[in-house]
Amino acid sequence: MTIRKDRRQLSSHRRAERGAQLASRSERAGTHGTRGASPGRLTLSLLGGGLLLLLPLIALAQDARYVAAGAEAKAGGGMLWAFYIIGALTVAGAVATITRRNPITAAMCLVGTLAGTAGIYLLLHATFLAAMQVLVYAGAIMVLFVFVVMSVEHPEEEEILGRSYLNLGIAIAVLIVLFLRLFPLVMGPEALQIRPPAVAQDFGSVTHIGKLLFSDYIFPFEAISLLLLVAIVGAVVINRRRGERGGEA
Amino acid sequence: MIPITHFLGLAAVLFGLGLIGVLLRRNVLIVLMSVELMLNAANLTLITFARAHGQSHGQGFAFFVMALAAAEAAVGLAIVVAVFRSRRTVHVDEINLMKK
Repeated sequence: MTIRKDRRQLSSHRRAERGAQLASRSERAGTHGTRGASPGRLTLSLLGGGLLLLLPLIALAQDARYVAAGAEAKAGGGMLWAFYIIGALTVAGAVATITRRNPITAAMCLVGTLAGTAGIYLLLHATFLAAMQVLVYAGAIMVLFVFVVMSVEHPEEEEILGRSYLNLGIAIAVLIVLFLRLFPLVMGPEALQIRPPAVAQDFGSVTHIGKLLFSDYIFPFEAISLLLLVAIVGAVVINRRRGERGGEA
Repeated sequence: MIPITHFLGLAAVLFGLGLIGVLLRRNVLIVLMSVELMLNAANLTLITFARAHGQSHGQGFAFFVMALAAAEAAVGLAIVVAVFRSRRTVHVDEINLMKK
């Protein structure tokens, strides 16, 4: 009787212990999931967030300039808003791709970016390429990525702004040059003057691109199919196990 | 109508973000994703100039870049899996066998 009671007490004690362990593990997972774990990641997130906040401001300023420029220019205002909304989503996905620690999350954010780019292609009258973008990139390539992400293990902690100060310096230099070049490009006086010519209704359609690929670009087209074949064979050969190497004569 | 420079600006931002990802991340899968991002930005530039000149040659070229990206992803991911099999890591700094 007493022994059984003891055992029951012991088991309940164990259960409590395990519960505490589980709680602490989930707590750890919780802190792992929240941001602020590493200063580098926080810096990148803040940078991306600031960039995102900047976009609506630019859009507002541009809209005001279009209104000032006249009614003819204002007619395309709705398209401009579409561009800014899709562009903001695209940039947000790209920022998330390079800041998320979990590769699955990063892959999903990259899918968002690729889909956003497909929307931008539609604004550029590239309908066939927009469809290809969704099918090939967001479909095939990203499925491959997610498959590989799931089949390899990942380190628990990854310092994003690692020990490589040279790389950090290069990245900051690229950012500075980019913004010094971009700001006058988008906001400068010539931005309103450069206007794309009017194109035919079937510009960028399947027929249009198909005719192009099978007349002017027939040789590159065949070359790229050979490249894809070589890539497939290469992927299989690289991943063959060592023991199978001597298998065939 | 949306000015051409806006598309070029967006492409430059995407390219810069991809470059930062390649330079600063240590997980080789994220590095490959950033490379895809950069290829995508280059594609956006090609399509933008195709629109700016009213000719579809740039779109044909973007199509080839897309096929190239597919081949690159297939071979790159195969190498990642092979390296992971022998070294049990996807950390870029630890994949240094060819230096030795």
